[in-house]
This record gives sequence, structure tokens and C-alpha cells, in this order.
Amino acid sequence: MNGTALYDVTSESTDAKHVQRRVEDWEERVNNFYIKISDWLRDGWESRKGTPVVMHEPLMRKYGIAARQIPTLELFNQSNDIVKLEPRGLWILGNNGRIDLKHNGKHYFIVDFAENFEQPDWQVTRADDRFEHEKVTKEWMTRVLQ
Amino acid sequence: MDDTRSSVSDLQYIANLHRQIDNHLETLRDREELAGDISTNNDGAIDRKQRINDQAYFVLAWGQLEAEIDTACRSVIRDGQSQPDWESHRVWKLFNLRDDRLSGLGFKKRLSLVLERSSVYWEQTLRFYQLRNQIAHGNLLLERVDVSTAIQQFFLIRASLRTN
Repeated sequence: MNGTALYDVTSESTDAKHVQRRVEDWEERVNNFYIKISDWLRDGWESRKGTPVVMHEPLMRKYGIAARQIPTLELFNQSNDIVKLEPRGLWILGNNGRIDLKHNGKHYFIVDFAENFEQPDWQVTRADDRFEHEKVTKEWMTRVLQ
Repeated sequence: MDDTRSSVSDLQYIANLHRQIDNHLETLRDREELAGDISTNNDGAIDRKQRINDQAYFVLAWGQLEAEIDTACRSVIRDGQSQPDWESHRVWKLFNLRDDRLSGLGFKKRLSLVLERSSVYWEQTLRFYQLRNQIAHGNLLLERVDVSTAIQQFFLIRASLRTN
């Protein structure tokens, strides 16, 4: 068992090396997720890098890990609609990192439910109905951009 | 088992209430972002409110789960004490069901009476308990808690508790 954010925060074996590795893994997972999302875009939509967000979470500060810029992604179309995907945090106890997407007045939490360092299990839930999850798929992405 | 049904609806209610407040804070965050006033270093006022809101509702929800564990534990002990032969009930008689603390039975021991240690929920429950203690004893977390997911896990933990 590789643990989760809950384990990282409650375990005495968590150290700077582990936290650093988790940060690097998070950035890689986010980048890979953006590649997947960009591949899934319906006709008329494109993607580009957005303004990065600064990641300097409490565990990073606790173990002296430097702040890091984590990329965001913007999806846009010819009508000038812009959809932003923004990482909101890695150590959110109960999941393994969250990316937010807001579009058409709806707020989606895209959450990785995989354990640390395992193949990501991206699932999405709406902010106003947090008990309903579905896998992030091309079909979901297509629906969101309608 | 009316207490159990009541706890389940309370858990759902707690999750909904947390969501409403968190969404309100998200709206405030959006307004600040639009105004170009949001902190990006995780020390912002909205972040802090969300963190504290998470922890308040997490502890509230945990209380419901712990009550379920206590109820299941009492059921197991009652079952053991009701065995007709002395060989079967003698150990269970050590526990006083009228005692709120179940004769000093700590949380881990109570849990071990109703959840197998090999269960996928065993360690997770203890980790949640550790978090609850940290928060309830005044040492607030700096991290956010995914309260909805935690409560969903509480439902799963609850469903795996033995009562006999």
C-alpha cells in the first residue's frame, strides 16, 4: 500500500525526500492530465498554457521544500469562451490532489483517487453535488464543453 | 436500532451543510479572484475559512461514526454476555454496558471488536481518528479535508462494522 495524503499527514515516516517526490509526481500527473484533456477536445476548442499557480503547501513548508510553479490549462474556442483548469492542492485529506474546472456557472472538482505514486484515477464531481463521482473521460469532457 | 438510522441521516445532513458553506466561500473566492485580490500562497483568508470549515464538519461527522462504532461495540458485548454457557460469556462480563466508557475500553480496542484488522478500512479508520484527535485537541490542520469523501468513507466503514 502506497498511502494517500491522509497517510502523508498522519505518518511519522513522512520526510523531506518523500514530500519532494510527491510534489514532482503531482506536477507530472497534472501535466499528463492536461495532455489527455487536450487530446479529448471537441472540434472548435483548443488548449494553451495558463498562468501557473504557486504551490507551497504546509507539508512543503514543514520540510523546507521550495515553492513550485504548477501549470494551469486554458481551453478556448472561437467565441472567446475560456475554460480554466487550475490545480487546487495536492494534500487534500481524502484524495490525492484536486484540479478545479469552472465553466458555464458550474464548478467541477477533478480529483485523483489513486494511492500515492500509482496510476492516476481521475474522477470528477460537481461542487453542488459532491457525492456523485464519474470518471473523467472524453465523453465527459465533450459534455462539459457543450 | 433507531440511533443508527438517525446517525446516517445526520451524516448526510452534515455533508450537505458543509458543502453549502464551502460553496459560499468558493463564491467569495471567485469574487476576490475577479477583483485580483486572491492570495496564491495558501495563506489567504478564504483558504483559512475553508480549512477551518472543513475541520469543524469533519469532527462533527466523525462524532457520528464514533457513535456508530460504540453502538456496534455494545451490540457485540451484549451478544456475548447473553450466551447461556459460562465458557462463552465469562469474558464479555468484564465489560460494563452501563459505563459510558465501556469499562475503559479505548477506541482502538472498541474498533477491534467490530472491525477486522485485515479490513481495508482498519488503518484508514485509525488515521481518521488520529486526525480527529489532533483537531479536537486544539492543533488545527494546515491542510484541507475533503469532507464529502471522508463522509463517504465513513458510510463504507459503518457498513463494514460487525454487530455480533
